[in-house]
Amino acid sequence: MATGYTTPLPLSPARLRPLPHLVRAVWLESLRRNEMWVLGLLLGLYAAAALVLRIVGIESPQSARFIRGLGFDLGGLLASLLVIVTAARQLPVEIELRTIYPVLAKPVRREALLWGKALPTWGLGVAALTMFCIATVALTPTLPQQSALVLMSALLLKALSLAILTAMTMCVSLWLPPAVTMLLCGAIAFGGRFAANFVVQLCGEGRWGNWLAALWPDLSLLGQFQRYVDGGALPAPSVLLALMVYALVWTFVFAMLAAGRFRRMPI
Amino acid sequence: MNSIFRNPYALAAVGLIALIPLRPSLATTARWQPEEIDQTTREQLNSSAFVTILGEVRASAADLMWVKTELYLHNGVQFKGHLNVDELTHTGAVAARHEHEEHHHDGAHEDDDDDDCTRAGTLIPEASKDYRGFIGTLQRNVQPWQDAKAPHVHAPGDELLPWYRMLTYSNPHHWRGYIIGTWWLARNPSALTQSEDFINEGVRNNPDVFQLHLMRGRVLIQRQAWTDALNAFRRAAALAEKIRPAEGKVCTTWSASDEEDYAAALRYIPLIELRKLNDPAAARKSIAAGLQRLPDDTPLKNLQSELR
Repeated sequence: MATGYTTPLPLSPARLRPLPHLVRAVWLESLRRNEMWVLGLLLGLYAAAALVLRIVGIESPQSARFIRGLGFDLGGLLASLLVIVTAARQLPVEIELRTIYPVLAKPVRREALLWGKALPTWGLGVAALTMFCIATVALTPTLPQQSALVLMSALLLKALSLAILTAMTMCVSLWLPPAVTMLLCGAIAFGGRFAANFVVQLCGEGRWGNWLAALWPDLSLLGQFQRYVDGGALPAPSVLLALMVYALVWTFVFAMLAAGRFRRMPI
Repeated sequence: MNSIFRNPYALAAVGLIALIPLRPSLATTARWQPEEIDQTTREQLNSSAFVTILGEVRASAADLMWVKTELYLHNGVQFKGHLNVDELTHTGAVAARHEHEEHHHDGAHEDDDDDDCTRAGTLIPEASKDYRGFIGTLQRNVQPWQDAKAPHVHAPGDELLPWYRMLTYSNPHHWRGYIIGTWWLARNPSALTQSEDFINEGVRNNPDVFQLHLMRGRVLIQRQAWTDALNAFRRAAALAEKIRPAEGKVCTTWSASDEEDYAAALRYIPLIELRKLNDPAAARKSIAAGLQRLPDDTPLKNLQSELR
């Protein structure tokens, strides 16, 4: 049925014009929140501990590997938590406090609002991760087998993993309350692989099991810091590309689901 | 077609379909060590810092369960700490805290345990040494307690078995848990198969611990599998010789208990060859080899005289 009204594409430039203002608003809001300071405090604690160990002397390569691995693991974990906690509260809180009305009355389109909330949330996660990585690399000794190229690829993949997590959390937060969203997304982010393996074992490793595994966001695939810490080689370019495509497709899927939901959502 | 690209749900569905052929090609991304390296190296390499920390927690849980077994063994009566913690920390030897005597807690040394615990006394003191008066009397009546002069009673081992099972699940490298768990299981003739399975699991998880091979040999003796038992004792002796210092002197890596277990392995070999396999020639050789390592060993000397 022709209505004379054509819906613009979800990612059309016209919809994204107010984006910088929205990004700035989220950034200012995040600075006022406590999570950033907690993260800074934890980074400081880790940095102090690593510094003390460095001064006392790290005697074996195993210890060096352990401390460096701990820094990356901690950075990845805290960045993921920051993304989940921040993303889960962006839109539900705006809706609950009714501050979404003046924003949408600008007029800012709903898709633009969604992107304007998601992008800085992801940026926060990447910034936190980068800070941890810089502190870890600066404060812990590098082993000869640890390659900077592998580290860069691991950082890139982790950043893409945070993009999935942001899109997924924003998407789920449009259906569920923030606390439930945080728990669910946290469970998928940190225990998703076990759940997927469990489901695959229940269904058998035949066609259905493989399909279910394919349709489950496995963020652990993108966690490659251990490869760097262990001194592993850079993944083959085809594998690296496949991992990037995997992350981008999942981000796209969740972003589209969120856009579809938010477009028709009664506020 | 145009409407599909304007519908976010349709776009999401397209994305999901695109994932199906992509996912199987990513199955190998988590593995980056070459296939040819052995399991131990792989475990050491591929263990993230969090896994290492959690592994320590798991090992500590196993140690707590180990302590719990002693509480169960004494029917809930808590005795004062009587283990030499310094030695336990440095050598791993479970020895009593006496300056000039060696007392060890192994399945084979249960009598020593009586002495150690009785000497240490109970955590709740007896009336004559308790300054608390009525409160002390009350505690002795409501908490598991026994007079130091009363006979030292041990609970049946059945109650301990779940703890040994749990602690070896928690820390599969807790070889003492395997040894004592097997010892309790093997006391029950109807549980011999289970004891063999348990010790086999211990050997599988800790192939280089000679005491486990020794215990396995003992279980196989009970099952009258003489050849297998003989091989187990030979393996135990061979593994012990790799780590035994010259003349078996007690040091940080070799305790008196280790020396005792090594001697037991050397004694079992000629005994089985002579008494069960009727092979005096092999027994003579084994005795000679044993006496070369333990020149003052009385049981081996007695066996040698018997053969002359």
